[in-house]
Amino acid sequence: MRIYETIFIVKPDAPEEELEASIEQVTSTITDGGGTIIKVDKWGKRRLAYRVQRYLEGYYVFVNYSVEENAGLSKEVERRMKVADPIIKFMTVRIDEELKRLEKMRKKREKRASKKRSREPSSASAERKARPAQPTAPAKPVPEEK
Amino acid sequence: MAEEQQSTASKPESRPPRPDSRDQRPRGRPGGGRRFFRRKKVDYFSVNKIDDINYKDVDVLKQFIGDRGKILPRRHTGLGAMHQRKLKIAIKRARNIALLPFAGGSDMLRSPKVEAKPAEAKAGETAAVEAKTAETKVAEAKTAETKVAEAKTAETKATEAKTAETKTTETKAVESKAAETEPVESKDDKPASAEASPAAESKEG
Repeated sequence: MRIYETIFIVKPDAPEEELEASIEQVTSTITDGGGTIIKVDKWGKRRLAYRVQRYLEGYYVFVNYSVEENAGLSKEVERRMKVADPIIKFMTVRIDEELKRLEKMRKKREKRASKKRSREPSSASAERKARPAQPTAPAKPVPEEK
Repeated sequence: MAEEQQSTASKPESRPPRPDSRDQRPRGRPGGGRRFFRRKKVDYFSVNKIDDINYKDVDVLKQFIGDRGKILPRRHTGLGAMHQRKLKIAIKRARNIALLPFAGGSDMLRSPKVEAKPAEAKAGETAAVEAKTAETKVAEAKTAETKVAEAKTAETKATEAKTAETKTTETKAVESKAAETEPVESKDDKPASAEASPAAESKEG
């Protein structure tokens, strides 16, 4: 199974319906191709770091989905986005291996923490609390799922 | 080592590896050796126990790029090899989706008109500028202006529009004040402040 994250940017001056239509188009392409949508997140209008097709802002949409076997699906989704008029930029990242790695790291940390806690309970718990919440402007992916 | 880690843990938000925080620590060694004592750089991601260097965490990634959008080298960031590598990938991804600028990108600055966005993040800065306006000291206003101009190079165009607004109000206030007290000063003050903005723009370009 593969898990992908796709971010695409819709023109800021596109009307609401067009935005919804492009989201719908992407999600339906994924579901029709045998993928499963994990999460759709509208980040809203953000400034672009550089000009894209003369636009300085864009409406960011984040889609997280998984594919069981249809390996060509992400290509197809990208192709559709390429021809979609209101979408000015997009990027797809495959993240299943990264998630696996993170899971492993998390377990390792937990193990280490529990070991430490059994040795000296007070300091270990303090250290766990010291771990800061990640300062994230956009939404984080959900590693728990699948 | 433990002490150093504590010092960074107390202020995790600040950019970790900057030599300009030298003043907090003892300066140099009495006899020879290295002239300047550099604070030991620490790996930001190790200290904060962040496994995931994600391209979506723009605020984190921003700490590791320079003014021109270039990725800072390891000697600046103090990251370990693995983290620097992951950081590199994350920054490049963020650039791809226009979350971060490409290096050397004066692209944004060249574009003439920008829809000014309500600057919610810059509220603090503008408040500071306004406080300065209240004082209406000519010299102070000037330094504030240069400060704004400096800040502008780092800021995006939208905030520039905002600062430009405050700047005009500032200069007006200065003018009125100067006209009251010293009419001679107001004459040479006005072109000086007018000069400041093109100078700043040329700096950006």
